[in-house]
Amino acid sequence: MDIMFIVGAVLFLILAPILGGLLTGCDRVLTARFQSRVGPPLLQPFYDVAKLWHKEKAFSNPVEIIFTTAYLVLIAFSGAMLATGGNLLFVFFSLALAHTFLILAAYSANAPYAHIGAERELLSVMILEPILILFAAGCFLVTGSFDTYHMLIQDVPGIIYLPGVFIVFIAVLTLKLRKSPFDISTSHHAHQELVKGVTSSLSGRSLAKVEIAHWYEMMIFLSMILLFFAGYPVLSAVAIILVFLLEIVIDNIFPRVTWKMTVKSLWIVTLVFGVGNIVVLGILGGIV
Amino acid sequence: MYPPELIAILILLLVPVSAAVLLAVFKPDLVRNVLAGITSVIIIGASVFLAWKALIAPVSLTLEHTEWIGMLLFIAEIGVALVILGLSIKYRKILPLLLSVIQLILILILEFFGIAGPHAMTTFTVTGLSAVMVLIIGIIGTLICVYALGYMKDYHDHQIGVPVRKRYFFALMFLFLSAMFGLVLFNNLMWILCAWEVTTLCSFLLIGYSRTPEAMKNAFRAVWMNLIGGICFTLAIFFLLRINTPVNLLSVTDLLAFPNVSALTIPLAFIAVAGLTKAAQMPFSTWLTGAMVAPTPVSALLHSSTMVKAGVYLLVLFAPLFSQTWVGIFLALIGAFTFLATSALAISQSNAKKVLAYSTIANLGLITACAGIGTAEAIMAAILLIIFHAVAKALLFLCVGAVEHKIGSRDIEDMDGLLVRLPLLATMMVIGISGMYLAPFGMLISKWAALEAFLTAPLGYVFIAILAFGSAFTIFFWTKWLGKLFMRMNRPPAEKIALHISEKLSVIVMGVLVIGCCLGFPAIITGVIIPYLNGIHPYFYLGNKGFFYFDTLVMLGLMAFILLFLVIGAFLGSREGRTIAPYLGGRAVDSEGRFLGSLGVYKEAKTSNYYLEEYFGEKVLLKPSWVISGVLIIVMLVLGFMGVMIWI
Repeated sequence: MDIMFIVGAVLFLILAPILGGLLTGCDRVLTARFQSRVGPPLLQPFYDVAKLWHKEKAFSNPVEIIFTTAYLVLIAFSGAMLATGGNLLFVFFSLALAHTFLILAAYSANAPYAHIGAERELLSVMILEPILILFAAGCFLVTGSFDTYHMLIQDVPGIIYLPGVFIVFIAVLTLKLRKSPFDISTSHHAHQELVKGVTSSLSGRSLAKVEIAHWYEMMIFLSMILLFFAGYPVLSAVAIILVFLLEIVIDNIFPRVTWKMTVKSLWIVTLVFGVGNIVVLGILGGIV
Repeated sequence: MYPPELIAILILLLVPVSAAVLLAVFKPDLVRNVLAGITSVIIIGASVFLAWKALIAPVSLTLEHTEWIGMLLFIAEIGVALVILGLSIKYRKILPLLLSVIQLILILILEFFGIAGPHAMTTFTVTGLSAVMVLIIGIIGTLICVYALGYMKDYHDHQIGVPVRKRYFFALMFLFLSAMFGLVLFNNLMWILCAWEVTTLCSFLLIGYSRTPEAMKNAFRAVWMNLIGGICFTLAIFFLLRINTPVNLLSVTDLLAFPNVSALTIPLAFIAVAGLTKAAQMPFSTWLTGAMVAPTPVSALLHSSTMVKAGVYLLVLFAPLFSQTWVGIFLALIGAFTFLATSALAISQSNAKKVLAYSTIANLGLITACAGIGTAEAIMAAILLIIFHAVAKALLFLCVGAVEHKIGSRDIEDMDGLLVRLPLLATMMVIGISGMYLAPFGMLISKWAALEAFLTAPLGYVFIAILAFGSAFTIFFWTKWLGKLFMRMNRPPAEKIALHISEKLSVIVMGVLVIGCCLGFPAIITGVIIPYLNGIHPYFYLGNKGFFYFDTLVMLGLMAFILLFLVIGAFLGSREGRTIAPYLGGRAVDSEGRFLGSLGVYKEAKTSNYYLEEYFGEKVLLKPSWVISGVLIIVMLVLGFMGVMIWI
């Protein structure tokens, strides 16, 4: 393994939570302005986590400590894998495993809210799975490998070949940024039936770990946009910012999307654009 | 002096049969335990030896004077047909009766008019694929039999109305193993057909073991579906004999080497249908889901090491031929469709055995899809799937069986907090479930391999799309089961019945096997699968690509290490802190986790998993799936008769 890759992984591990926290802060300020409020300070997410970290250690089942740790470690691991230009499928499998641990943490709490939250988090993992596999398949058809590294050194940016997959990716990002649907697991909307669902029984350090993991995950998904615009750094940056703003707008326009609507709409989008894209690429015989 | 390989083969074929005869004679439990134990040790030893020999160099043995073996097997085959015939008359089942008569007539025609005379051919062949199967049958099959020794004692304590017929039960279990060994070791298609029919009979009798009306109904369903498979197998032989060639096409090795594949499409289509019935693919899946009325060791045997694996073995064996035809593509489509449909169906089930059954069918679907595609990568994925599925599924069945006797239920909803109530069994269950779908364990590697195989196959994008959605479903139903095990509910502690030593032994060994296979998968690929593939595709070279890429292996290792660290952390880590009652929306909660109801009484808060029956229920999905898969099978047969080939 190249030394550059290791540097990349280390940089990601250090920078991702900082950037992720800042983005969350921006998000909260922007959303507040949308709703004619002033909103919290930009650094509020960091204050929150710092405060959570120093809270009393209390849990409804001690096993949640290890599960939330596993969640954080594996999400960070997936991000580091991605940053080294590693295998995309492996990154996705590792993410799925991380989420399994979060879901198990919610299950182990033995509380109705947490349980339903876990089930809905599981649904969101299920919604995401086909899209991720199609994404990986698309990369394979374009570069002949699952390695993100090959996607990054492409001459032609991936979006030319994978426009459909990109649309699907944007669509699922609302889910991954915990925007819509409002009633799924840890949506940031205050007024929802599950009181923060999957995390409702977590407190103190466990909750802090979940928050940090969430920052990592946000950065993982945003940096995947790079794969579509490889070779064009300015374009990539613009795309990432635009997508992020778009997500905040979508969130504020559709505040009451339920999980059933989400499953249906996202899978229809996946079938039409994602599968359609892969089928067209396949019929054309791939790029390699 | 006979070569040692031959002796091993003869041991594998004859020892289980002889044990079956002895087990049918002796009644005392002690004699049975000793007999079954000794037989199991011999079988395991012989299968390991044979597999080892075959992995060094494929074994190929030719015996003289095989006419009498053929005669003996022919008589056995007639016997099988007559038993099914007789039972169909006794229970007045028209369809099985009709099918067994047809089968009997076909076999008689084949024997007396079909073959001009015995052709000289290799008698036994042990390739990498059959070595894998020998190990699966020899180790997992016998472990299940050992497990059954303890299980059947509990079974009859729980099922009061069922007559105790243990001699019959164990004789059939061991006979089953013999038939399976025959199926994977014989080289003559006529002989394989005989073994095929014996497995049909054994599964039929074992499913109907309890003789309750439900059991008999499901047993007859199993037998008529498998008889269709048998008839298709026989028809395949008919069409092979009609091909005018000096090559003896009844020899599997000669058939695989036959250059003119376009002449073979009709028999291939029939073989495909035969494989589909035995592997319980749509629309024949109901026999396997019905088979769960049988005692759990039977389910374990049917699902992991025998019966259904016979179906996919046949398909994988002929995969190189399928790869050149459109029959293969449609076979793969049926498999992929089955994977999608049954994974969705599994979501709606709360009965643990039924979830396992649907997941078995789904995985067999994936194997069928790989076999139909038939490229070197696909065959590799198929063999990996066969291995990992066999170990993990056997472990899960054994666990569910033992848990059912302890908590009196096989419903997943009743398994909450099992990790606290039955630590050993629940830990093994967690290993089994993780082995079925989580990184970095076995099935996931196989799925990865399948994905790569699909991407390079003709029409691969269709398979990718199906796999993408199917695997989303598998994640859903496995994770919600896994979650239940970790819940901590206020349940009465499980009955203090110690696990039988035979059950404990089998479960633990199986758990170790699952972990061993997961850690040792690179060795399995390089040591077993690649040599086998090089026998078929001489230029196939895995090299440094895909999941076998060195960096990926390092990453998998790293991930396993992280997990290990977490497991250790779970045992040794600090639990310092305050355990508090769960959050119930601000309601008053007592120390037990119950909430204060509006009438001033503390009540248990109960939630259950999502089953989403409005979308994934059997009522919604089964019938459309039968129609779709039925149409696919018809198209496959038509393509077979038209002899359409793939141009590459």
